[in-house]
Amino acid sequence: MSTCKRISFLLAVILAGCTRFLSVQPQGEVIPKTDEEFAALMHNRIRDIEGGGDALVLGNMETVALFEGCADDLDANIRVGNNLVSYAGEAINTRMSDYRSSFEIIRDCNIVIENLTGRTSETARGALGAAYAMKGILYYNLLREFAGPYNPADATSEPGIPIVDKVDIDAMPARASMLETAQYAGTLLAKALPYTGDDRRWFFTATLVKAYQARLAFWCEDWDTAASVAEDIIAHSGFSLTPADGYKAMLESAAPKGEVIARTHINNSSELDWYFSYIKGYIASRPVCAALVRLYGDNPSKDIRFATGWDAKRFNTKLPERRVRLSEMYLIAAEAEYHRDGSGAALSYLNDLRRQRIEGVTDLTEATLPPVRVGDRITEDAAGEAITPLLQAILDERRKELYLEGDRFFELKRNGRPEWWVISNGLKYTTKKYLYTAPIYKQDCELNPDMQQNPGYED
Amino acid sequence: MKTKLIYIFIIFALLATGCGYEKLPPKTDSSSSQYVLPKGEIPSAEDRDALADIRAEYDNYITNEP
Repeated sequence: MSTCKRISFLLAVILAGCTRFLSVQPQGEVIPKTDEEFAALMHNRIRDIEGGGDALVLGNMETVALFEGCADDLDANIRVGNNLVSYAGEAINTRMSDYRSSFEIIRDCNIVIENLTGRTSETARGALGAAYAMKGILYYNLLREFAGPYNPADATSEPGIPIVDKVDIDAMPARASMLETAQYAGTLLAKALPYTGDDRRWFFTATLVKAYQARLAFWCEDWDTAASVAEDIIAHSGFSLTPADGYKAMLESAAPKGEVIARTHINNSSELDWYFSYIKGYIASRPVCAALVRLYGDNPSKDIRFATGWDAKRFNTKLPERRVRLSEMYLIAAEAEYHRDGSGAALSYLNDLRRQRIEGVTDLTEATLPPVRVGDRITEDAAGEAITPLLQAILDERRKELYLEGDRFFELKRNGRPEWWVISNGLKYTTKKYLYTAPIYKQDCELNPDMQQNPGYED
Repeated sequence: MKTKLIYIFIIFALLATGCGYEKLPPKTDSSSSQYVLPKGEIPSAEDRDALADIRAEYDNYITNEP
């Protein structure tokens, strides 16, 4: 009898255990099995990009408002404006939450990559290409936002982003180095290429993936790769610079037009259109700063970018969408060639771009480059060297060309992280160096003792 | 009687060994998932002068817009 009791007791304990603990239950939702079902995960994310809801992969108007609010092309000292952050310190929690949301998309990409690798249907290959591209782009974005400015000299020791290469809810990876993160992003983009082509159904075309390879190499100061990829796109992608008379239409076209390699919010009947009409108003409530206006010189109306950028009161009139454009590839090629000591090639790319933007412009030569200005915010380049007349000309052109496309904040970050202040509501707020890098998601740091928080946010 | 006790014990065991597994510690009221934003400083007289210059430039620009 005693044995019987013991057996009964053991059986009771074993059978009453949580047999359903962590077992996957569909609860009315589909657990993907077929190629089409896995592809639906990517389609949902692509739909977000096309509808303008995606703030994380290519970004959207909200992303533009966030980063232009943190930067200095719009001057909060003249007027802070409506619903824009006055400086980067005000946006740390918003930016931190992007870290978590990015990994939700990475999870979807990992599900697709894990399950569709090796499948050969057109759907499987399209979804795989989108998953590799999206994940590679996200790692590039995370590297720029949540790691410090990239310096090749210490990239092996400085913290980058945790590498999450499979779906594992128990895994708590620590941060990889900056170099490992950059290499991982590069590998993902390279893996995307064989699956991509000119087909825009999967959004991520081969040219778009290459453009991100150029951006990644540019951020990581791998000048040789940045120059060669950008030059390959310029020479072989089939895109050409849009001339000044088509510039405004190119920027405002809902579908990618002219030199636009990719653009978000191409669905012009998005359910978020009402929201974007507000965002445009918020962005247009803070005037453009004097330093940017002065870049256009004494005859600014000759430059199409001045004419389309803002109104008489210096409030923005450029459509604030996120785009990947060929002109950026010219600017990447110019700066990369500059750092490779190829001043002739750098000037050539710069002049190619200026001819398509400024009416009656004369080509710049080394002899006619304006001297380095005193009092500019950026005083050192990405390598920590003093600004030269040629580099100043390249950075000026980049600032004019990519105005209101969410680039300027990262320009400041990679070129010395200058500190500057705004006065809002009677108080002075300084964009300190540490604020250029957003905090790692706070709860990740609390749960994982190996997760290193960024400087300035440790407490 | 013994049989009844065994049954009671088994029922108790069934109830007591239910899913009470919690991997994460309970969230407490004092925890926060947000960072406290950096505090502003009182601007100096020099800062106020610089601000006045920035605003004067803007007012002048929009009055004499090219």
